[in-house]
Amino acid sequence: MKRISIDPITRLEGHGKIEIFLDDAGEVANAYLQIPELRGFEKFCEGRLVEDMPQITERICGVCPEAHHMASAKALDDVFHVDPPPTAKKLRELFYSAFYVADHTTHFYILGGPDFVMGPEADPAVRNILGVIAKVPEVGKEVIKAREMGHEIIEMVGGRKIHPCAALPGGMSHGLTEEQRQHIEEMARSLVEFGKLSIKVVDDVVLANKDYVDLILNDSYIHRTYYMGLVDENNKVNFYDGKVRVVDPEGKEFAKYAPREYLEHVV
Amino acid sequence: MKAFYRPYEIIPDPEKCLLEQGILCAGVATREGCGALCPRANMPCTGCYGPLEGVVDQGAKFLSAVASIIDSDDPEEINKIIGSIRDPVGTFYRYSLAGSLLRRARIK
Repeated sequence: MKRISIDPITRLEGHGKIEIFLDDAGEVANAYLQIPELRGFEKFCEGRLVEDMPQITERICGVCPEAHHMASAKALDDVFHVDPPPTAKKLRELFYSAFYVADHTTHFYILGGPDFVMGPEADPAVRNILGVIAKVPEVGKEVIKAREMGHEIIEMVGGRKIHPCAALPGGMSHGLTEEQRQHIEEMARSLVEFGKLSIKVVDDVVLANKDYVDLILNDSYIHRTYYMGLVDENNKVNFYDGKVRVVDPEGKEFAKYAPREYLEHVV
Repeated sequence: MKAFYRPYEIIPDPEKCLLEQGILCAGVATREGCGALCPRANMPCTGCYGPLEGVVDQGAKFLSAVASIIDSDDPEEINKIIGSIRDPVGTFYRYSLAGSLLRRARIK
């Protein structure tokens, strides 16, 4: 039996490993995805101060600490039975949206996207951010600028660029000055332009590549799966708040529940 | 200080030292370099940049700074004030317990 190992997986942040076993005919007999590391957060958070959770759990990741910071903050609201005032909610949404832009920029241009931009036949050595910059140089500079702006907003609202500190049960530890608000608005406008540019890159470079489109529309490339996300009262996606909704591969609702009922549905 | 507060228990004056307002801020015992990011956001320093040069035990330095601002001569009252500090190990040794004097890790 032949064995193919992909270790580490470089298209996502964190540690992962894929093992594929082929039978004598060269067909896939078995495939495994493994996460070969123990973090221990569930255990060492026990007994710690509850208000420290946003700053401890976010150490899970240096790329997406903001998501863990917010998840902990929202759990704290629930533990303390408090609802943040409108200003704090807006600050948190602003913070999370800035993170969303910065993180997706990282994902598309640095982790998952280079394979698509460079094409299915490209040498693995160029399937990275440097290859992307060489192929679409006018975008490279914008990528770096966009990530910088995203993180500047994250620091202004969350206190720090990486591993923010501002979330407290019931709100945020500080507000914004009018000057900062204006600066954020300016940056947000140019980030919208950057988003449009990124869609153009997908249209012009990825979808214009017939080889790639044939590959991704191929049956073996299609993964029918359930989807889970937060939705508002109209079942529209919401990144910060709402209910958890799971839909099946046909898009039919499978489950919908408040975050605090997570254990009843998932375990 | 007559009492110490957890960060969600009071709204600090952003112009004043957090420790002076009863919030356990590790700024006094931590190497600078970050630009005091957390205190500028009204949150206490947790000491992530580590001890100053020449300091063997960051938590002990932080503890001694805190001890020196307890405002009482009455042992019973002092105990009460110290009692308002929750999770002292996690607070004073957030990042430095493994290399601290506790359990004699550093004594050669």
